[in-house]
Amino acid sequence: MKTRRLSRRQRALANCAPVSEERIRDRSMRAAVSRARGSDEFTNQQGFDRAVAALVRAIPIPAEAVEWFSDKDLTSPSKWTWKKTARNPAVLAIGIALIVIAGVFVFNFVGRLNDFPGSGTARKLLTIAGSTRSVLLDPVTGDAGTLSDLFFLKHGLEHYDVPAEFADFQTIGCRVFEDDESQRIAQIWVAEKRMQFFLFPAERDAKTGAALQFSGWRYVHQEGWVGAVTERNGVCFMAALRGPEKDLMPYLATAKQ
Amino acid sequence: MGGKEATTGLGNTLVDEIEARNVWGFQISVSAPKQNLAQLYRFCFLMLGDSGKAQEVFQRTLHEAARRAAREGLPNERFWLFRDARWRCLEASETDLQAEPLEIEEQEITAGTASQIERLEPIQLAIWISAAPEPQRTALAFFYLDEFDHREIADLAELKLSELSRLLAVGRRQFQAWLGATFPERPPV
Repeated sequence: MKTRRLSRRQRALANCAPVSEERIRDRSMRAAVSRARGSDEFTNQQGFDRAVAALVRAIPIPAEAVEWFSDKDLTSPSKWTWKKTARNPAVLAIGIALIVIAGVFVFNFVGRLNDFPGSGTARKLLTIAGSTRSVLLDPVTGDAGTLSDLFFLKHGLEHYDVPAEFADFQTIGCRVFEDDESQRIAQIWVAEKRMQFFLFPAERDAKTGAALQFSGWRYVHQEGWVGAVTERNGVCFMAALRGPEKDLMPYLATAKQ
Repeated sequence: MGGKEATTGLGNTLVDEIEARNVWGFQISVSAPKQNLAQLYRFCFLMLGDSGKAQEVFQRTLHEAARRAAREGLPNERFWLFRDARWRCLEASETDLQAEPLEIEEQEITAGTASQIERLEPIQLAIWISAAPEPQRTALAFFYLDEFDHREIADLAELKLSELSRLLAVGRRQFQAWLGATFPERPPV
């Protein structure tokens, strides 16, 4: 049989040629085997290797060893600890998600703690306050307290009175409009800290139709605005300004005195 | 996880089980490659030429693997099970009676060798390989497992390619000489 001459490296590789062709993983080995394939020596070597490998595959596995492959508990389960559990990414992710959910729940719960009849409307009006431009209002100059007559005479709005605490504030403009629930709302813009006042019907009991009353001043917050709301004679009054609650507090404090 | 060795049909590998345990114990270690336990036993058998000793080393290796998996996790090393088993085999044979170094005859491989080998029992082959000097014994055992390529064998046996090649070639010729002496070729009828 015709033999091709092998380099020293190829001969070394041919000597290590794997028994199964699928174990030939690199190009140099493939080339060496391909080159050596024609020789009797290599053919005999391969026959020899295949026979020995078949004999090795025939080595019986004792029953005691076979147990290790399937039934026997190879590893003692690793000890469960809080530390290990906490480090697990899945547990970590679930933990963070739960904290976030709990945070949202607590936030909403705390927010609802301060709810009062009409707080929903008050929040909506704070949003309106944030988007209102002074040009939308009819220019009116005078004390805010005097607008009660205007609202009654011009718009038929009874008890739309500005509380005494805010009655002396100079107005810039006012308007009366209907909200999405067809409630008539009076909006007053005053010069003091660009504050806005809103007068709107108090929330009513669905069964009796009676106005739901509450005492004192209640705060609402929305989009950076704060409002102080009070109810009198079935009408709510809200003083609103952009900023924190403490900016409104002095006006209410003076009222108490 | 997909760590089954389809070739043996002997079920899960050690690494499959350890990986599974670690996932539930939150110690995920997937670095260790799939290692075939049947082949591991055969390796021990070829290295030691004795079923009892092979089993002992095999079990000690697996106990150690299980211990490590439970404590610090599996070593991030390719074929570490085979490497570990090899050292245990070497240790185990150190205590055995050592054969005096002899000039072993060599003979060219012939076309009829395969039929001679077919007449052998696995234990005879194992005894012959286990009697070979180190590192030839390791090289032959790994090579005839038909589990690794030449680079992996060289790595496991800590040999250069040229050394591995020489040891295998010499091993074949020596085995051929032994075969010739033990099972003379039948003359063609």
